[in-house]
Formats: sequence, structure tokens, C-alpha cells
Amino acid sequence: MALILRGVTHQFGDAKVLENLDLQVEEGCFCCVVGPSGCGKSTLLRIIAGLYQPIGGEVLLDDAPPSLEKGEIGFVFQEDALFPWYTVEQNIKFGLKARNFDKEMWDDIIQYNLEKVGLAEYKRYYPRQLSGGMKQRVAIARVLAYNPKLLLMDEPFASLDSINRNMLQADLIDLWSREKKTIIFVTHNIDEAVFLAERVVIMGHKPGRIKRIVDIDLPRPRNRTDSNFCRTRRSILEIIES
Amino acid sequence: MGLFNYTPAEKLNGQTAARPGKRFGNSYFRGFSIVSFLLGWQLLVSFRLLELPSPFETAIVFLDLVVHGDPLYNKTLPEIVWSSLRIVVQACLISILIAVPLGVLMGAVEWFRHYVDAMLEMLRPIPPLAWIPLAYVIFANAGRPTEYVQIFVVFVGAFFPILLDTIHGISMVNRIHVEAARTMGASRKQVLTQIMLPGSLPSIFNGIRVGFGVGWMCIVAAEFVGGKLGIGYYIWSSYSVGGRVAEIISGVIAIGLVGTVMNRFILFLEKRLVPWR
Repeated sequence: MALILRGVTHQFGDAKVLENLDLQVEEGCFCCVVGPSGCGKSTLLRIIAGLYQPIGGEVLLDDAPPSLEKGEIGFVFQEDALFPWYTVEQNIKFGLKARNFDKEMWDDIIQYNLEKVGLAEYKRYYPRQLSGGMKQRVAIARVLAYNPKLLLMDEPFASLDSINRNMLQADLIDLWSREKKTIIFVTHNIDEAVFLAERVVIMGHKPGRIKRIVDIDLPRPRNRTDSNFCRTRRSILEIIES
Repeated sequence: MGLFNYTPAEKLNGQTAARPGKRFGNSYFRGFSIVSFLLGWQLLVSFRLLELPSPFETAIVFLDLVVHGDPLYNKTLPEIVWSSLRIVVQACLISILIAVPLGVLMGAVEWFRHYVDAMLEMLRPIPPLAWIPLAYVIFANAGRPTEYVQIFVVFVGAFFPILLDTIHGISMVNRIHVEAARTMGASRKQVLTQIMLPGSLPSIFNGIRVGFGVGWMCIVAAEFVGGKLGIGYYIWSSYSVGGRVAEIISGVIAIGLVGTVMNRFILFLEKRLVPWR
């Protein structure tokens, strides 16, 4: 039992963004959250991360509210969240420093995690010298480096072209099947959700709430043109549109 | 890991589009601009519309002042300029040391911003030069009152542009960067010094550049009022002596040159210190 949300409610000003949301995500689960834009998906992630305090309800990560200081969470953002004034290596170092990792381990951790995402030669590059896909790989390496319990991903591949996106999706599944991290992955791309997730949480809006939770047990590696894949995608789309 | 085979992104550094024709055209017009300015000046003098020395006569005097100096003051033009510049550099450094940390704190801590803002809103509309008489009273018993007054006036002039641009820079820091740092477990201090400060550095540099510019204006005016040194004093006293128009123009040209060089130098520093832009 990794993550539990009970009656989470949030609003900005008078606008209710999330209403009475219950969710349970087991350890090691790859969970995708889909829904129309404005349904509070990003807000939900930020509440889980502890960046926002919900006005009602509670969030428990291993029986305790998530705390930013403990570094239990790895957050990968949609936009380019790498610090442009640091090199790739220094970006990863920032997290290790913040988490008080032993200085002598830094170099090994950086090397190991950059190899994981295939960018070991780019240690000394500045983010502006990297392509969009490479930046997101570094962003993933940056959070993996301090070994968080929970990975929160807010449409991390949304700004990539479809070829790059497919490649990164496959790599992410690869990574997840080896590391067995709990991942909550927000997307508005149903194809992406069906390809990645063990479980898809479908949200509705006004106010943001959970419409349905669908388990996906298609065998891996998944084939996007497979008839079962397409059927699953269609049924999720129908729930969203209903 | 085969999946991660990747082609590197083009290095964005060397990507300036070459447009040779356009480039030639622009520098041509720049040259033409200077020539027509000098020509206009020469015509005004030739037709006796203004009682001024010609550009050529002025150039001779200017070079003479640079190389041999002015016998009335026993100083060369660079020496005179330097004594003003020294004050400006000192005063602006003090401004930076106070305005940047203050601006970062004001940008990051809301109650602190309101607290300081109320005070500064009262002081900001006062022209720096209006402080001169009061400053002479305050520094009357100090060792070198004139110098302190000048440093103070330039400090006031440079302070507000630097402070405002620092606050602006902090408010423009990418929210995602701050959130990323916080989810990684960064402390408030780490966010402030390693995210907010570098994130606002381009804007801070802009403020420093404007601050030096204002400071340079302030020193010239401050030297009109008191003191026996500096380029402002030089052109004002040259006027008081009478008949030294070529010297006055030379001084004005020197003021313009130094201002331009200062601006360029800070831009150069910014390129070196903010390489990620």
C-alpha cells in the first residue's frame, strides 16, 4: 500500500478544482491519470507531491503525509524543468546535495543514472544544447538519482514529436519493469495511457473527480496496432466522452 | 542499451544566419550617420549660425587634452575622467552589494517586500540630485565631505534601477524551476541562492547596466555643485572661465565615450557570467 488519497478536495478562489477524490495506488503500480484539460490532473499531482495543501481530505504515502523535505517524490514536469545555469551533471548534483547524499557517491550516482537514460556522454552539456527528448531523459535521471519512493510525471512527453514520444515511452516501461517504482503519470493522450499503464484513472471535470478506474492487463510489450489495444483505447475514450 | 541510441542536438551556439548583403548595408548607414552629423556641425560653424569651434579644431584640442593635458588644471583628460569614474565605480558597487540582496529578499519574502516597499515608495520619486544639499549637511564633519556626497548621490541614482530589476527578475523566475527544486527536497536557502538568484541574474545585469548609466549622469551633475575634481567640474569651470568652448565640447565627448564603454563592458561581463542565455 503505497499511496492513499481520502476525500481530497481543492479549490482556487471560488472554483472547485477537485472534489472528494479517493484513490489507492499500490507499491510498484504504473498508474496513468487521463482526462480533459482543466480537470485538475496537474493539481492532483502537486497535491500528492506536497506542493499544494488540499483544503480538504488527506494524502498518505506509506501511512504519513508526503513531505517535500524527505525527498520521497520524484517530479518530472511537462515543461523543461532543468536548471539552465547548470550542466547536466550539476542538475543531478543539485538533487543529491539537497538530499544530503554522501559527496563521495555523487560521481558514481550521476554516471549510473545517466547511463540508465543513455546520456552518459552529455554530462558537461548545458540544457540548451540538448534536444527536447534528451532534456526529458535528463529530467528523469535527475529524479531517479536520489531514489524517490514515488515518481510523479506531469505530461512529461507532451511537447515531444510522436517518434521521440514513442521511444521514450518504451524506455520508461523498460526502466519501470527493472526498478519497480510506483509511477503516477498524467497525460491527456489515451494512446499513451493504454501503452504505459497497469491502471488508468479516468477523471471528469467541473469539478475534477474520478469517473472510473480501468485495469489494463494487455501483455507487454504492447502493440499499438493490436486489436485488443484499440478496443481498450476505444472503451476509455467512451468513458471520457460519456 | 540500444534503445537509447541518440543523435546529439545541434549545438545552438554557432547558428547565426549569415546575411552579408544586409550587414554591409547597415554599417554603411552607420558611417553615413556620423559623416552627416559632422557635416551639419561644420555647416553651422561655416555659416556662423553658432559660435562654435569646427569639428576639426575640436578634434585637435581633444587630442591635445588627452596627450598633453590642460595647463590650467595640470591634468590630462583621462586623469580628469578617471577621478569621476572612480567615484561612480565605488558608488555603484555599494549599490549592487545592497540592492541585489535586498531585491532577492523582497522578491522572495512577501511580508518583507511590503515592509520595505512602503519606505522605498516614499524615497524613490526624489531625484538623486535633490539629496546633494542634505548630503553636505550629513557629511559635513566627515573626512572628505565632497567625495562622500558624490558617492552618496551616485549610490542613490544607481540603487533603484538595480533594486527594481532584481525584484522583477525574482518575480520572473520560472515557477517550474522552483517547484522542481522543492520536490527534490531543497531548503528555502537553496531555492533562494541556487534557483532564484541565477534565474534572475539576466534581469539583475540589466539593472546594473541602467544603474551605472544613471550613476554616470549623477556624478557629472554632482561635480557641477562642488568639488575640485572630475569631468563635471572640468566642463563647468571651463565655462566659468569663458571662451573655452573646444575644451567644453571635448569634455562632453569624453563623457559620452566613457558612458558607451561602460555600457559595453557590462554587456560583455553579462555574456561571460550568464553563459546559459
